[in-house]
Amino acid sequence: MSRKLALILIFVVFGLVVIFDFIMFLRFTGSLERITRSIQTFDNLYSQSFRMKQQLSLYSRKLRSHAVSLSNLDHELKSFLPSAKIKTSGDTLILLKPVQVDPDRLLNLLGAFTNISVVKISMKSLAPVKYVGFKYKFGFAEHVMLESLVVKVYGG
Amino acid sequence: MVMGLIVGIGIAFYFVGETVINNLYQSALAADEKLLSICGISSISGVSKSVIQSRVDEQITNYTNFLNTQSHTLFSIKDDLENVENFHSFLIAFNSLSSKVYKKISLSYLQYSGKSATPLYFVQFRADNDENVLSVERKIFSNLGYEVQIEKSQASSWYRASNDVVSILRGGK
Repeated sequence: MSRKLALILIFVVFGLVVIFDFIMFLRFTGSLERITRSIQTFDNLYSQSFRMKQQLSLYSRKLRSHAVSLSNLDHELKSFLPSAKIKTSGDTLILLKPVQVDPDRLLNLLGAFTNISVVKISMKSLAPVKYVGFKYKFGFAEHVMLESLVVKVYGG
Repeated sequence: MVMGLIVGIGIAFYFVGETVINNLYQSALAADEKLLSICGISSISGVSKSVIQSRVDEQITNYTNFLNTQSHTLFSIKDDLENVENFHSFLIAFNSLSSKVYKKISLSYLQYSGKSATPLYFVQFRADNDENVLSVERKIFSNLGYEVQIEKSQASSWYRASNDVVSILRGGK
């Protein structure tokens, strides 16, 4: 074997070995990179979920701090609106027919709890102006009709 | 001889590289116990990388779906909470209105709707010569971040009374 041929062979083998190692190295680091990226994604999701849980518990604590149940609210409303026809569906209370109401009492009742989300109220006075001496009476004067009432009770 | 040496060194490099990277791989995973427990992998050593990778990917997809539903719940609760707070702030405004313009106005219609762009809308009667009431009302509601629109109407069937339509709009905030 000539010296030249031997040298060429050595270089070829050296080249092949380098290429083999290089490819293997790429494969290993590729799988390493994929798994570390997955771990990162997972960690992001995990901390996101943690923050969400915190928010959820904060919100529901706020909502529940002075809560009323749907049936209790229904009962309360019926105690001062005895003739009212009220429908409950799911977590929502709906007034079906207009009924005469004491507006302050109604508003204060709805505002007294932290889990009542008022969707709609409308009230109309049949005799809006009432003079007391030469002054107006603030708020609704007389004969106030509750025309619509829709409230959602959280957790009800 | 020389060729044998080169090949030997090449193979040695291969094994060293593999062990180093496998160690990195395993220690990276082992540090994340939450992920492993969610994937149901108790020990990494016996499981091939491709199996681990596919399980991890699967769990990440599941977790993402779970988070999506959770965020829906979160937003609906946030909505409820905002509605409750809006109603309470409306009540505060209404009560301060009643103490500041006490005996100066009388209401004939009132509508509150939580989700609309005009949460509050009412129709009032006041004395013909009392425009001061209007600026008090404007001030109370704009302090809470609402925009106030007052539509004055002169015609009223009541003696010396003016009839206004007051709309409280969201969006001043």
